[in-house]
Amino acid sequence: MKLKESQIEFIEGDLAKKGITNDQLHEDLVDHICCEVEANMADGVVFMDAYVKAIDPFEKRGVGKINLEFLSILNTISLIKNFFITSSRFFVKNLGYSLIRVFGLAIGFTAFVLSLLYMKYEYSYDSFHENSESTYRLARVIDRGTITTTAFPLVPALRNDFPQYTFSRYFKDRSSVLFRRNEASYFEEGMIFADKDFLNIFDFPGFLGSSENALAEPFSVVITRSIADKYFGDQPALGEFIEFSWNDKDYPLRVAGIIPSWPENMHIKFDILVSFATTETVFPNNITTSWNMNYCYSYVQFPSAVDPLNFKNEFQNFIEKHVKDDKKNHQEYLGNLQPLSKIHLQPEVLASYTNTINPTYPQIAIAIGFLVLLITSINFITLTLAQFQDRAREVGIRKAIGANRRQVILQLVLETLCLVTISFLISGVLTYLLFDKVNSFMLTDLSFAILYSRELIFLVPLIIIVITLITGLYPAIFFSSHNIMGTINFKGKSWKKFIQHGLLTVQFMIASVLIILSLVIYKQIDFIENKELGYNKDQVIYVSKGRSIRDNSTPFKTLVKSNPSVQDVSLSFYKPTDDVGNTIEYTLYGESFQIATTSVDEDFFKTFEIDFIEGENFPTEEVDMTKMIIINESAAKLLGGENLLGESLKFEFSTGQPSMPVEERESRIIGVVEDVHFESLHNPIKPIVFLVKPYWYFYINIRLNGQDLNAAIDHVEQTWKSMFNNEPFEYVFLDQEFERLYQKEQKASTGLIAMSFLAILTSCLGLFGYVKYLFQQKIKEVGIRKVLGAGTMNIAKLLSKEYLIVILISNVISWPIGYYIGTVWLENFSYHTAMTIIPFIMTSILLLGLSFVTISREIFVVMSVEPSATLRYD
Amino acid sequence: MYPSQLLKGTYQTIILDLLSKHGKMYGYELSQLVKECSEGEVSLPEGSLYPILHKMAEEGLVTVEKIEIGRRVRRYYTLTSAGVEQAKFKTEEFNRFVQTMALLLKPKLT
Repeated sequence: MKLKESQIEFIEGDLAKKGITNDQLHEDLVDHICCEVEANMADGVVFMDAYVKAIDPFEKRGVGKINLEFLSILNTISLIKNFFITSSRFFVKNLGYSLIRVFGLAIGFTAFVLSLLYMKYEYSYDSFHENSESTYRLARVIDRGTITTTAFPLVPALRNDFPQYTFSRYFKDRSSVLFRRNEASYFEEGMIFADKDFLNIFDFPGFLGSSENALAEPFSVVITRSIADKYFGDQPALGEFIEFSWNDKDYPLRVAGIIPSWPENMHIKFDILVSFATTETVFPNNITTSWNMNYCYSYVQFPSAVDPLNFKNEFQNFIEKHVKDDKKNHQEYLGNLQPLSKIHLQPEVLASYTNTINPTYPQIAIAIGFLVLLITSINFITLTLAQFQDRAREVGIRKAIGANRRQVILQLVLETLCLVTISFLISGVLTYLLFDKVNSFMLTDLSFAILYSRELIFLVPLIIIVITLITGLYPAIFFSSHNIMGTINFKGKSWKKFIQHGLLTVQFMIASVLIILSLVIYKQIDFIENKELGYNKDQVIYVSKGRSIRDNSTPFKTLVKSNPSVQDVSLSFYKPTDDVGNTIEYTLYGESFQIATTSVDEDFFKTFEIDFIEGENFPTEEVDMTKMIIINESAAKLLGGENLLGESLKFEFSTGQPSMPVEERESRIIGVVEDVHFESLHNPIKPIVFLVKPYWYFYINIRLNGQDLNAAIDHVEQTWKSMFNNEPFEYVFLDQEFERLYQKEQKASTGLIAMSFLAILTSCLGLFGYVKYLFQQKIKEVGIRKVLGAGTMNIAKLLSKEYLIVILISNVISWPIGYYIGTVWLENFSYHTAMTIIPFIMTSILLLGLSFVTISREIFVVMSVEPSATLRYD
Repeated sequence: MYPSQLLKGTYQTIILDLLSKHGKMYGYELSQLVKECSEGEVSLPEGSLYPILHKMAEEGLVTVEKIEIGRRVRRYYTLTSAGVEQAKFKTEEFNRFVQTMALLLKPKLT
């Protein structure tokens, strides 16, 4: 007798209701029971009775149990599917915790990825050129180290002697150059003279024009797209002409190439390349042929198989052949090769003329990124363990139905893998959103293009797997351990407690070190900003146009000073904040001294409010200034200390002046000024000689009165324009320049403070989870104590003691670490704040306070539970 | 009826043997056949039958073929070649076991 459709439907529904979730088993059982029912009904039993009789043997073992047993022998794919369902149910059930875990870890990933990007960016400098690995910058070796400025004739001579290699050079004048096309006229800072092979060594993607020949002809120019837009608007620029003004003469330049965009991570950064051949016309001969004027930057590119050492071995012969000089070592003309990829990372190389970075900075960044990731990973573990009571129930059921330990571990690890992957994806979005912010405060030009590298394809899964193992394995082993109920009370499992506390200690230790370092850096920056420099940098503007008035500065100075809002005007070779790199050998009583030298006028010390210790300033009347010098305190010490006034120094120096390339002087010391922090506080105060050499005047320094800055600047600008035929007027405030000196430190501190903030935030989240988990186990104890009459304070003490000890221990461990790193960092500065105990104490108070706030709510929750509610079951 | 402790290890062997003798079979048919052949002395507990069949499917000893019968779906199980081998091995093993047990438990002649 065949069953009716409705009866089969009833059986199907009832089996599903009884807990048969697996489709295969459901099919089997429906068929089996239908057969049995049909057989029973054939014996005359009514349907319902037949059904009850048929299902009875299954009920003996439990229908749900059969289903679970069935599931436990599923194949791997269906196993994972099943895990996924259970895990996602668990995820949704504990949504709050789950989101904290996932987002916390995403923050860690973001910190790590961003620091990784930053590091990759710093290391990516100059790496994008086609033959960057076989390209080197030529350098000289002098007593102070490797210096990268070279003489004009070096590259032509090398080209002649080593035709198998490619050479190029560029020359950059310190001043800005006036460019003009029709109405458009601007001073351009980013102009260099670049020699014909420049574009062959440094290739630019998307170059417009012929890179082979663009810079070969005199009076040709290669410009960037932004310069082309500036002067030509939307008209075509290629092949057109633009004028530039050199030594008061105007020359037309033909645009022979356009660079779409100059890469930010290239050590050379300019907008306008004028062909080097142009210098043959516009420069005096004695500069371009002198082996003693080192104003060029020179490069060599080898065919890929050549060992640069072979070339280096030729230096001595080469120099001896071309330069007749018995006094100087050949290395002072050509002595070293600096690999292109190292230029950005070798701040110790002198006159590098590019922004360099101490390679430890990106390394520190990646270390901190990793530490934040570690903290958030620990957090993830702690929060996983905090969910443990619910988890224990689920795992307990799984194990009761016969799942083995391996399967439980597998499920938990797979679940972690899912969460870690989701976190990683979220961090991808976060990274994307934070990109612009990071670029602006780290002064980088990061782009996702950096990410398109082969190693990253392996790196991303590797990170995910490592983090999964770190965060998933311990909880998995913990949960799957044989006696799950026993573990709830940690009975006889002190090592687990040890790990638990250990994790928290590590987390707080890292957070604490980061906070200590942020405070130390912050303190140092504060120290720099408020340090007595010895001169007054406020309300001073400077104009890099000293050359325009160097021959006769009086008319301009008088006119500018006629307005009461201008206090003082002076000219100088260097401005404060510059490195005084120009060194001259002085002789006093037959003994010679190398001393840094700058050229100033008689108003310089007044403009910067630098005091005289003894002697006097350069006279204002017309006298022969070449017979006088002023020195600073350190120079006085170097020269032998006291009674130096009136002593005469002999010296000979290159001037760069075509009419008088070398000058000899004998000058009397007429004054000694106080040591001031002329250079950055990274450097100790140098001995400095101040002399008067108008040819060297480069900066016009103007001290304003401060009453009405805008009016004062307006006045200076009007004066300038009236004297110089409407030339554009550009100025900079000295204190802006001063800030720029410490930009790296500012950057470091902003980055570190942001990371510390993340570290504190996530550590507190971790603590929250940990405390919740700890207190769950103490509810009964608290109940008993309350029943026995313990006071609120007593219980609060009992609850907080454990974690307070952990935080104190982590603090104590972090102190020497923070002290060590902080001291090493401060040694970067010749003048730095002392290491005091304050940052350490502040960190401890901050962390203790924050953690107390974090747990106080939980303490309150635990204490407000009625003992009757928790003790009833026992 | 023999107690189930005694039979526990033999269920798979029985199923393998029946499938090797009768070819394609479905669950209910198997359980009925066991009862019939053993004259009611042995019954495959329904709760164990399907998990065992499923495990054999996972291990590649049997393949499953679905045939629709009206509204119901009947799942037929057939031995694979590995299954045939396993059936042979298991029945031989069991026969040796019975002989050994007989030898071991032979009533002593006094």
